[in-house]
Amino acid sequence: MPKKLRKYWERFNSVIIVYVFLIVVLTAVSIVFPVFRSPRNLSNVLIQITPLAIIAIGQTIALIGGGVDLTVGVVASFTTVLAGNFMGQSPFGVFITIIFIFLIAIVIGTVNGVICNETKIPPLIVTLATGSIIRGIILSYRMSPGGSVPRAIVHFFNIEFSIFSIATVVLILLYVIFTLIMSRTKFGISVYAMGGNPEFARMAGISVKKVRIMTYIISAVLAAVAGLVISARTGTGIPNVGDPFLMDSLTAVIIGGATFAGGQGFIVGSFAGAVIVSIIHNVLNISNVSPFYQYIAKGAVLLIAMILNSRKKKL
Amino acid sequence: MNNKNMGIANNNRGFLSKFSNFFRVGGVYIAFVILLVISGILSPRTLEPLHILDMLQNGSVLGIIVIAQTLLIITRGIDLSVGAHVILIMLLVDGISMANPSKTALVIVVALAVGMSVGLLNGLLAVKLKIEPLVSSIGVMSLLTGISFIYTKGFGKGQAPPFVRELGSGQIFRVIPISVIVWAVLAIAFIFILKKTVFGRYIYAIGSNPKSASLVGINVEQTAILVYVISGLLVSIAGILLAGYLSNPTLAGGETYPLDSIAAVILGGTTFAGGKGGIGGSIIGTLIIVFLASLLNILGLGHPWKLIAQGLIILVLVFSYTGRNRSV
Repeated sequence: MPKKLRKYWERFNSVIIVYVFLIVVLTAVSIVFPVFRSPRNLSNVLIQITPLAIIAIGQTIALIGGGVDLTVGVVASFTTVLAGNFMGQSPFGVFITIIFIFLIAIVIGTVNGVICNETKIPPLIVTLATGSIIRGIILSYRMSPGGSVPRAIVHFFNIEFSIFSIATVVLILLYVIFTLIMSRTKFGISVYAMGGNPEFARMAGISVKKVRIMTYIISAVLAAVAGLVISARTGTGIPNVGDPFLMDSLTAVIIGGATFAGGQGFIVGSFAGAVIVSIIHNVLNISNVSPFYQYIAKGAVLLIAMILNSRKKKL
Repeated sequence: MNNKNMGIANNNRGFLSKFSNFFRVGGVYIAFVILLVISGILSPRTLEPLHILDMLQNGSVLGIIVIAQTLLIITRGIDLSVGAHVILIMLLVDGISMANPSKTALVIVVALAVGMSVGLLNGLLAVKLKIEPLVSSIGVMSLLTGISFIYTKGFGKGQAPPFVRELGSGQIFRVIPISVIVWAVLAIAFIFILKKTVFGRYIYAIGSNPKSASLVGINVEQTAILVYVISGLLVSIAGILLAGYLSNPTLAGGETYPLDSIAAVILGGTTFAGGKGGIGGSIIGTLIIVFLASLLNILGLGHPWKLIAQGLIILVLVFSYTGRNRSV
């Protein structure tokens, strides 16, 4: 193998492997389930992928930085509840609510980042606890689904070009932007350095605390974007709609090659992970398997991905 | 490296860290007394003996799960699947026996066997395959929830046999709930095991420093997996009590156990760094969780406020125990 090619392989092998795996899964599924290929179903899959893939970007950045964010699901739920309650209130409702939602997401991300910076509490526990607080706030506000999202927003996200909707365009834009940020900017390199070894990163002149706070802010804001996409789809506020995204985003990111050790992983890898997770959901749906098996499938896929991942670490 | 850092921290002990160390050991008892005083002032009815026994009975399932969680956290493990696990055991006990007394022995054996298997699975994933236990137990939680749904087809069915019902909701002398006695016996047994036996010393040793534990000849992996199996067994006992306590099995209701049990353990002074803490503190931690929920209820503040209070409690207490991060 030429030297340059080998270098690329060494750097990107986790991404290449997950895309080869994705192609194999896609081919197998299309052959076994002809329904899967129908344009109608494919556009369904795209709709399912969007929020998960957006959340996966933030989760990937959190993991690369050596952290993890267990609040992504509740932030998405919070967003749908706020959108359902406030967007229809006034002519400027939509605009003001979106700004308000992003401000809240920034506050949540900052709180997570500051606590991780200033204490020795592991990020898993920090975000588990802040997640509980956020869930409490949501539930004290709204126990059951309700409120409504203005039609304008629903229409906007669902404008379709062939099988793509605006939501899909947003998704693609976010992936391009964050791939560039993580590979071409000082911030991106700092996140990798911090995840690899925070002490060395600090000695190299990176202000680790600021970078860490930024990773949690990005994760929370992207979870809020995903929440907006979800509320445009459901048209209402649902206090627990984000719950599945916590586990699904971890699964997607880990399939995509990021590790809990930090400093590893690529955003494009997580995209493939998110697509694979969504395909699994979709196949279980179209093959009329009882929805109860979804729990088993999801748990099994997460565990298998973690096991393969832990093998990789040892090599 | 770790020890060295700790040494430095010890030399620079300020008032705050002395206070936090005092608080870690004795604070939970003070906090509990304060909570009792507050609830006594706000609603004297809460301190009546019958109400207290009632709360203890309510708390016994959680209390036994907390013993399991304490053992795991001392050995640097953790288990988020306890809620799904306890529900699965309850559904199995009710579904298999269908209130038939002749199947009592069978359901108990099945429950304990399933409990140990779940513990073994969690242990193998966390210890042998070295997966972050918080995440692997999220995966196991999903598996167990799936099995519960498939087993019941979505609706809880059956009822526990009379003996199990007696365990879960019966009383001795018409006053003392049997489930509270089961909880107390298990708690005393595990306090004894942790303090007085070689196995107990191994548990603390592998929690505080796995490397040196293995150097002095402790089989670290085997001990850690055994702790997971014992925890699985304890959770299944909690599941049997729950089956006897609730007259109709439901699939919901397990979601609160993971966070409740972790909060109780941390309140009791067991730290995530491993090797520290014990059952005694965890029991008081459990009582605080149970009494707090009841107090919030009486004040008209429901489940949401409990979630908020618990999240804050976890953050504040873990911070007060572990102190500030001075490195990066």
